[in-house]
Amino acid sequence: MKVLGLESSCDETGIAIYEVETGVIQQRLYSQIECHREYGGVVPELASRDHVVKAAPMIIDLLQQNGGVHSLDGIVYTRGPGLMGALMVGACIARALAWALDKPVLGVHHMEGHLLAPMLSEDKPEFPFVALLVSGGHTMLVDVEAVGEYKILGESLDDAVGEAFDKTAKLLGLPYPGGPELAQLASTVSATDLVFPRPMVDRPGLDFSFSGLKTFALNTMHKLTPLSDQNRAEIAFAFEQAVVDTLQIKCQRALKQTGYRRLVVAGGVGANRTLRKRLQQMSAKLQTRVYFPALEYCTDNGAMIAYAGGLRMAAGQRDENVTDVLPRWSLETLQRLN
Amino acid sequence: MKKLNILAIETSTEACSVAVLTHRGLLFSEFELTPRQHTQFLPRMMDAVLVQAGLFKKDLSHIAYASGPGAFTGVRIAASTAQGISIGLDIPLVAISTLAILAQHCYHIHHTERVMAALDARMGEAYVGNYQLNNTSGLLELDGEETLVRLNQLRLPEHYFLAGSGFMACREAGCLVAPENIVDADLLPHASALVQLAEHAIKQGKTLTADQIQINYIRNKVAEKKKVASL
Repeated sequence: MKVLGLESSCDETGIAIYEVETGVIQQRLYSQIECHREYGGVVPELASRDHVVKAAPMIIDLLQQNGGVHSLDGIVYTRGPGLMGALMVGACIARALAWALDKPVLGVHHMEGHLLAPMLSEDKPEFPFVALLVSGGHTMLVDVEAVGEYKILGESLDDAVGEAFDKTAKLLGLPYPGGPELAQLASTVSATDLVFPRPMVDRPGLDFSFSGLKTFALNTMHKLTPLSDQNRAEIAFAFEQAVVDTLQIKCQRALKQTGYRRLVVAGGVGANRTLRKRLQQMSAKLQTRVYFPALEYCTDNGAMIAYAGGLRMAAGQRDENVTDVLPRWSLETLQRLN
Repeated sequence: MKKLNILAIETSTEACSVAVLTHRGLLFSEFELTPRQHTQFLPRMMDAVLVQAGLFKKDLSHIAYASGPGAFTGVRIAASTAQGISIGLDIPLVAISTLAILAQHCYHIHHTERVMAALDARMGEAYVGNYQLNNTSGLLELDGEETLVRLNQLRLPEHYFLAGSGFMACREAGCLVAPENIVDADLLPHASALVQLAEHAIKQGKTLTADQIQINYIRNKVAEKKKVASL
């Protein structure tokens, strides 16, 4: 079974072709970061406008290089969660393509795409595992028993971790999206006297809260004003350490709670080097294993959607060609794949 | 060359309509008021017009869509659906202005040779275009430009019929000074007019490929640029 996958839930246009039997995957990715930079954040209407311009040339190019449109057995796309208008573009192209070809179509859960992205690596985790999903839109710990069998163990009560990175970076005067720039700035120092709180670690449970850290960063800046370059770097460092510590403590707690031996890290923040290093150290100590998707599959992408959708479609799942997008959609409502 | 069988999709307003014009000149259409549910109705409506016309999908030669102005998401529903069909069937697209469709439909319904078409653009504004009959083609053509106008600055040209939701907005804002018999504020664009305009455009060679998609939002300022925070 060969499927075309479309991802357009936020500010990345991702297109991929996945062949279920061979595991061969090809993808094209376009990031809209430049388009949103001067606004200091993703503007939903502009994101939608860009998807409708960028998706078709990528689809045409990918199909030309991979056997043409008639070699497809099905079309899958991100049905949610995400930005309504942005999702709609991918959904309409996918559904219309399926209609024109008389091929099956299936809407995929964006977060399931992220959860299963590590399966695209050579070294795949076995089920069950704990997944830490960390991106600009989400922060959650998920108990993954099997494909489609998900239980949310904890999630952010306010800002997503990537959002906290971006907002703090903005306070530091770093250009949008800021998160990776903040991490870069943090890497220029190796110690500081500044101590940031580790939110919610002294409470039981696996929920997160990151908006307080951003406020703490702001207050620290006010205290130190005028800020030297060294001050900025130390604030970035202290902030990143606080985030990474918090995530690691909760991951450890989730592994203990579930009794699982495997941790999978997915989402854009999964590319953060300090986080990767810290979780690897933790795993060595606990004698568990940690899996990261390849960097190209950390951010939003079409490959993870083609993969998750391809698995489900190969197992016989289909949507009627009348369904709508689901800007809000809980992972826990998904059907288990047997 | 394929025989001319055009499928047309219009979803720029609260209405959703689909039409097909066959190479024999037969026209079939479906029209529904489906606010915020266009995507649920479209595939069914496309199937329905093809069945009525006795056509298979592979018989289609062109896919036409209303390319705005209108509701942003609505306009993109037609455009991206047209892209998917274009790629799937390997056929060209035809983009037609929603205001032109509204004006042409007004001509069909009210036999008005001059139409000022206006769609409610919210925020006290309307998308406006003046259209006049071209006697050779039998179609209404744009006179001047399509623009975004503040409702209280709308200039009504003489001897024009007024069509579309823009005049409803004007009426509600208390700035419509026109006799009732030259206004149809409830008139909505219809794919039957779109498909006829598309046929003419195709004969003039005005077709696109899926990667050349054209949308005319008219309103292009949709967000404020922010100053970078500094401390």
